[in-house]
Order: sequence, then C-alpha cells, then structure tokens
Amino acid sequence: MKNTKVTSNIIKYLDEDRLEYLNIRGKPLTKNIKKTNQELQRKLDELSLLYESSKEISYTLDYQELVSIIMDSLYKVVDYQVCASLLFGEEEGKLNIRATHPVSELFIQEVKSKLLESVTYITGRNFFIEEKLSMRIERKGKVQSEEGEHKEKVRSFFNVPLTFQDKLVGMINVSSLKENAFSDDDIRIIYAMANQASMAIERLMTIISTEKSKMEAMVRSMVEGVIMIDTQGEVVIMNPAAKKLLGFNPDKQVTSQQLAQSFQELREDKLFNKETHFTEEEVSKEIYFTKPKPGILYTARSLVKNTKGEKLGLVMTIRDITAEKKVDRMKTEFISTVSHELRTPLSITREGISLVLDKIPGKINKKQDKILSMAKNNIDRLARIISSLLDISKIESGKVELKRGLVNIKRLIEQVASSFEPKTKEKGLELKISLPQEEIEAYAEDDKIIEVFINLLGNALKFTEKGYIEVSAKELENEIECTVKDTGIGLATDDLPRVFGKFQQFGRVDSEGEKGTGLGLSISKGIVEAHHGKIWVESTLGRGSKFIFTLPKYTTCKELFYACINNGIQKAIKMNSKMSLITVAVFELDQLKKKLSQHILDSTLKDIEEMLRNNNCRTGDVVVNKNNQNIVLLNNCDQKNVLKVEGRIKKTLDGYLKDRNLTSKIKLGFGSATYPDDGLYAEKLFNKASKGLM
Amino acid sequence: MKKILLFGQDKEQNQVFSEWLKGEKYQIVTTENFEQVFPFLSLKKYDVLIVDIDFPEIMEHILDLCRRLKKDQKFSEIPITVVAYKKNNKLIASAIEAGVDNFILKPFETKSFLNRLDTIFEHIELKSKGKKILDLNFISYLINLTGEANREDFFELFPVIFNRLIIDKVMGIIGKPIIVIMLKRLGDIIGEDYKFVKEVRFENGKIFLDKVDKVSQEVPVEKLVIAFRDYLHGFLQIVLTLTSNILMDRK
Repeated sequence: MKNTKVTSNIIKYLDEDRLEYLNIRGKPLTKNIKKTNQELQRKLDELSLLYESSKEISYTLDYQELVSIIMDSLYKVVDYQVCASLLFGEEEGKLNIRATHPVSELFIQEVKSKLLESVTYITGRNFFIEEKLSMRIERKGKVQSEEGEHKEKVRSFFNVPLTFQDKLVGMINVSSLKENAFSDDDIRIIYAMANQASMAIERLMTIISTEKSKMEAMVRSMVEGVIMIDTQGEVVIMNPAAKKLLGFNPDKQVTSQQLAQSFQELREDKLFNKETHFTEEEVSKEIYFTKPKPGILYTARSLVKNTKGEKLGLVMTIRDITAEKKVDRMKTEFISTVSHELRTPLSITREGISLVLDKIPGKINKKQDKILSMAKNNIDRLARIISSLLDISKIESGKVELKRGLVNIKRLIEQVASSFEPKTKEKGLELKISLPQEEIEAYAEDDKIIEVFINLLGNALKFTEKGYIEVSAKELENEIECTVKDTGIGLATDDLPRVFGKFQQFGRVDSEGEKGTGLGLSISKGIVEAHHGKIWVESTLGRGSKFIFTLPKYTTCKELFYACINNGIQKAIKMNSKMSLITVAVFELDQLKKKLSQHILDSTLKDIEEMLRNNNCRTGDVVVNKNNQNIVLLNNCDQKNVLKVEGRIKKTLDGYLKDRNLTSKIKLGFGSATYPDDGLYAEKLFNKASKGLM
Repeated sequence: MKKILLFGQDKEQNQVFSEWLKGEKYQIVTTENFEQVFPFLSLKKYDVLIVDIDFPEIMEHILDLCRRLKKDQKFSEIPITVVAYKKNNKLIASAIEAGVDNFILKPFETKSFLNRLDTIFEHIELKSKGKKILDLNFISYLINLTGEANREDFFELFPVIFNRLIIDKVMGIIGKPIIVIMLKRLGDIIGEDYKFVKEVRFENGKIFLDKVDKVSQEVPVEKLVIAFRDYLHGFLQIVLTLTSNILMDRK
C-alpha cells in the first residue's frame, strides 16, 4: 500500500515534473513562433511606414513640413492624445501643439513644459524665458468640467529629437493620458522615423552642398561679376569679381544692405531691388561710376525661376566695359574727325565744279557738262554720307544733346506725312495715316523724331512699288508706339538682325531718287535709343516691312518732371559737375480760368514758357512745361548761381506781367534745387524746388 | 511565490541564504555544482537566478555560464543576480560585461540582502510591463566604489558601468544621434570645471576614456570620480526629460 502510494506519488510527481518540463520546453517554442510572427509583422509595418514617410520626406527639405509628415505618420501607429513639436533656429523657436482628443488646458501646458524642459536641458537655451517662441495650437474640443481638468495628467510621454549634423534642431513630443501608453516598439518606430528623417535631410543637404560648391567654384572663377538675390532681397551669390567691381573686399561677405547702398551710390538703386524689379524678365544697362576711378559697367539682370515658373530671385552679371567703351569712343571720334576734315576739301571741290557747270570760267560742251554733272551728284552723295556719319558718331559718342520738350506726336506725324504725299502720289501709292482720337504727347526732341519718321518713310517709299504705306501711332500702357508699314519688297529673315547696322543695304533697286547712304536706320536707332525707346522691324520677304519704334510715356506731370530731372542728373554725373533746377508755377490755375479768358490765359502761359526758353542763360539748358508748371534745368550751375538765375527770371516775368496789367491776377511761384547738394534723386530735388508751390 | 535558483560553492553559506529566504514569499533551490545550473534551469522555470561568484578557481566558468545564458533565447529572459565582494572591481566589471542584470554586494546583513532582493523583484515586475529601469541607487553605489579604487580600476570600471548599465539600456529608446548631442552638451557643462571630460570619446555606441586618461594624469582619482559622477547624473537627468518609459530607481 505504502509502496504503491509512494510509486503513485512518484509517478504523479514525475508526471507533474514531466508536464512542467514539457511546459517549459514547449511553451518557449510556441511562444517563440508567436513572437517571431509578431516580430515579422511589426517589422513589416515598420518598414512600410518608414518607406511611406521616407518617400514623403525625401521630397521636402523644410523641417516644418517634415514634422507635419512625421506627426501624420505617427498617428497611424501610435495612440497619443497630444503631439507637439518645437523647432528652433538661431533666433526663435516654433512650438506646434496638436491635440487629437479633447484635453484640458492644463494638459497642454504640461506637454509644453515637458518639451521645453527637455530642449532646455539638451541645448542650454532657455525657451521658457530667454528665447523667442511662437506658438500654434490645434485642438479638438476641450474638457469641460474642472474636476476633469485636474484629473488629467501626462502619464506617458516621450520626446523625439530631430538632429542635423550632430546638432539638435527640433524635438517632437508625444503624450498620453494613459499609463504605459507607449510600448518599446512604438518608441522604436518613432525614433527610427525621426532618425531617418534626420538622415534623409543630412543626405540631401550633402548632395545640395556638393552641387552648390561645384556651382560656387564655377561662379567664383568667372571674370564677370555675378550676383544673385532671393525674393527676400538677401544676397545668395556674389562672386569675387562682382565684389571687386562694386568696390567690396573680395574676401568678405556682402550683406543685402551693403549691396543696396552700393547701387544707391551708383544712383541705380532701382536696378537691383526686390520691390521694383521682380516684374520684368530681363533688363540690361550701362552704369557710369566714378569710384575708385571713372568707368562704365555693363549690367544684365534677369529673373531666376524654377521649373514650375515660380520666382526664386534675381541674377545680375556685371562686366567692366570701360576699356571697350574707350576703344569704341576713339573709333567714333576718329570717324568724326575724318568726316569733318573731308568736308572742307569736298565743299571746295563741289564749289569749283559748280562754277564750271555754271559756265562762269567759260563755255563747256555737252559731254563735259554730263561728266561734271555726274561728278557733282556724286560729290553731293559723298557729302550726305559724311554728314550722316557725323550724325551717327555724335549719337554714338553720346555728344548729341537732346533738346527735349513736349511733342505732339499726332501733329508731328501729320506734318511729316504731308511732306511725303506728292512723292507717294507720283509713285501711285496710297499713304494711310491711322491715329487715335486723343492727343499723344511725348517728351522728346521734335526734330529728331521727325528725322526718324523721314528715314522710315523714305525707306518705305524707296522699296515699295505698289500698295500702300501706313503711318500710325498709339498709346500703350507704358509707352508710345509708332509704326511705319509698307507693302514693298520686304526683308529676308536672315537680314533682319543686320538692318540697323551701319552701311547695310538690302535689296537695292536702282531708282531715280537719290542713292541711300546706308546709315538712315542706324541713325534712327541711335535717336530712338537716346530717347530711351526701342526700335525693331517685322518683315516678310516679298510682302512688306513694318518698322516699329517706341518712346517712353509719362502719364503724370511728376513722372515727366522726374524723367527730365533724371536726365539732367545723368548728364551732371557724366560731366562730373553740378546741376540746378528752377521751377516756375502759376498759382490757382482753376481760379484763373474763371477770371481770365481762355485766350489770354493760354497766350500768357505760352509766353511765360517762351520767355523762360529765350531768357535762359545758356544753350543746352532745358525748359519743360506741363500744365501750369515749368522746370528749367541748368547744367553746370551751383547753388549760388541758381539763385542769381532765379532772381533774373523772376524780374523778367514780373516785368512782363506788369506790362500786361496782370500782376494782380496771376501769381507766380518760384523754387530751386541743386544736385547733388540738395539731393541725389529726382524726387528729392523736385520736392525741394516745388516746396511752397504745391 | 517567487522561485529562486541559487548557486554557490559554499554549502554553509547556501544554507544561510535558504534560512533567510524561508517563508511564504520565496521558494529557493540551491546547488553547489555550477554544472547543474543549466539542467536545473531547463527543467523548471525560475523567476531569478542568484549566482555567488566569489570563487576564484571557477570564476571564469561562472562568467561563461552567465554569457551563455544571456545569449540563449530560452534563458535570456531569466534575470541573473550576482553576489560578489564589493572591493572586487575587476570581477564586477566583467560580470557587467557578461550581461548580468543585478548585483548584491558583500558584505551584507540579512536585512540589506532582503531589501535588495525586494528591489530586484520590483524591477523585474516593472520590466515585464515594458519599462526600462535604471537602477540609479546601485549605479551610484558602483561609482562610489570606484572612488575607493585606484586609477586603473576607475578607468576600467566606469566605462563598463556607463556603457552597459546606462547607454545599452537607453540606446534602443532614445537613439544614437541624441546620445551624441547629449554627451557633447555634458562635455560643455561639466567641462567648464573639469576640462578632461571634454575628451570623452563616443564610438560604436560606447564611450571610451582613453583620451581622458591621457590628459588627466595629474588629476587625483577622487576628482575624476566626482567629475564623472556629475557627468553620469547629468546624462540621466536629460534622459529623464526625454521619456516616461525610462524609470530611475533612486531607492
């Protein structure tokens, strides 16, 4: 009995033991399989999530966006109540708190302090008090009862750092109301994601920086100066050549303020400025500078856009063209001198031939007459070429000084067209004039503009055998556009770029009229450009040509005056001299219109303008009139002299008004300003001169 | 009831332990033959394995056994507590390297032994809930031990404590990049007073003190201990701000 009991006990014991043994050996196996399965599943989830987020991450370089992506991805795997992020740069921190469930204000405050505490510990920057912090909170509802508020506590949380190049750049916080809300796996996924994000950014940054360094090396070694600013006006690129050309130390960084100031000193502050010039695609300009020694820079500026067409900034190349310009000027001067020297002997020769042709020295026979006539004609032609050459060299050397005033373009066109009418009729052509109803006024020298029209119309007449010639003008938004169109032989596409070159003649036909010099269009181009306009041609061979030129439009009185004053400033800079301006205004024009008859008023205003023109101290000074105000620009005139001139003008005008018994009715206001003493810009000078007039 | 397997070559001492642990709380099985430890563990599930390691002739074998257990998937979860003499710094360092979970350092009295065991079970409990435990009290104790040691011992023991008892435990949770940043920050703060801590090297997830050793030849060991205790505490303080999933036991 006892034995059996023992045996059964033993058996029982063994069984138990074996069972337990099996349990121990077996359990871990099934447990292991289960665990491995779970592990696999988790790894898969993790991988797909990482893949998904890394795909998104690699498209963005912006931390703010990156954090958003991470927060969104996190929400898919981790059960949190509040997710917050703190990103910080050199200057300030950006705190973003996103609650996915209704939580109390206290809870949010606790999350915030947990996040800030951690960042403060790690970086040593105190975001609680010292640093600037901007905050954004997105939340879903709020816990209502006060009791609820106090119950709410951050029971689980973790902070995930975002790093870049071994530096902390931000921190993401995930918090929960529940105890033990986050498992090791949750944490691992989140850290893996943050690390991957950091790594992705680091990789991209490396790629970008190597690309950038290649680019920089290229730009640095360029002879031309290159500057790029972004849309914020910050200097992105500025190579040593650019720094040197603008007078900076090539080894030092140039700030946007310094750059702006440098352009301001060149009086070209509008040229490279974020506010004014993000609209135009391309602009090129020659800039005159005086420091360290006088010279000329050629600048070309264009917009930088990305593939989507968004503006990224402005890029400008700068080249010192002082030497080139010098050579060019020498060439022009040479032509000018030679032409001048040719003129005298030529005119003596012509005079001689004329005398012989007029039979003053004695009789000549018909044959002699014919030969001499031919010689005389060709001498005339040569004289024309020489005088054109002189014109062009004047224009090119910038010596030509436009005597600009307000020009009525409509009247001017009618005038020119009427002079061509007999010739067109003779050739059986129709001369069309197409002009708008309203007046077109340009600030230009009328004789020069007439010359352009004569050149263009002359060409049209020469190359058109049938059909019509059309002259037209219209006002566009920013400019006045004039067109001369014909139905003549036209130009070949290949020839178009050379049309405005010197001595270029195309499709010449022997006509009865005078032979061309091949300089007309070249001169026209010079004239138009001196007026800050553009000229170009559109043509189809055999169908006709269309020559178009534009002149700047000044819609308001001020714009016009500013343009004139700027013109004067440019001249003063070139000549390194001073420049003064005097404004003369008629007060209360509206009142005057009631008091005086239109005729008297008009003639008085006209007289005042005329007197200003005629009583000017020197030629080369400019008078511009618009509405009731006149501006007199005096070259090379300092503050002292301008007062003298102003006094003289005042005396003359007062005398004139007295003579006509108008002293009591018409009140005149005077003012003056001098460049550079009173200001560097048109606006400032004008305001100074018209102080008390407005 | 917690099941404990205790190994120790000294039979009398084993009996003393058994006596101490008698009661409703624990069930203890003892063995004097370390070769039996493996079969014992295979047969029955124990909550903790206590190993008395202070037997010079078989010390290496015991450490081998610990390593084997920690590498074996079936047993890696069983917490190993080592009983060792507190002045035996080298042995403690090797045991930590071998991956043992806890220590009970000799000499001890009944009460302190039992308290220590309670703490160990508490940690096991928390660990099963998914928390990481940093046994701060014990770590401080070890660091203080290094203060009594010589220079050579300090440079041997401190990196082991820091790497195995702290970095290994938090690395999985907070990640390597942030550790790099944290160490740099600590170098900056502590380095203000103790320049040599700036020379701490961090590679492959471990700190190395070789450079510190080189530049601090003139520095007395007590000062080294103070500096690195601050260093370690600073590190733990930052870890605390990072997550609630790492607990520090200060008892």
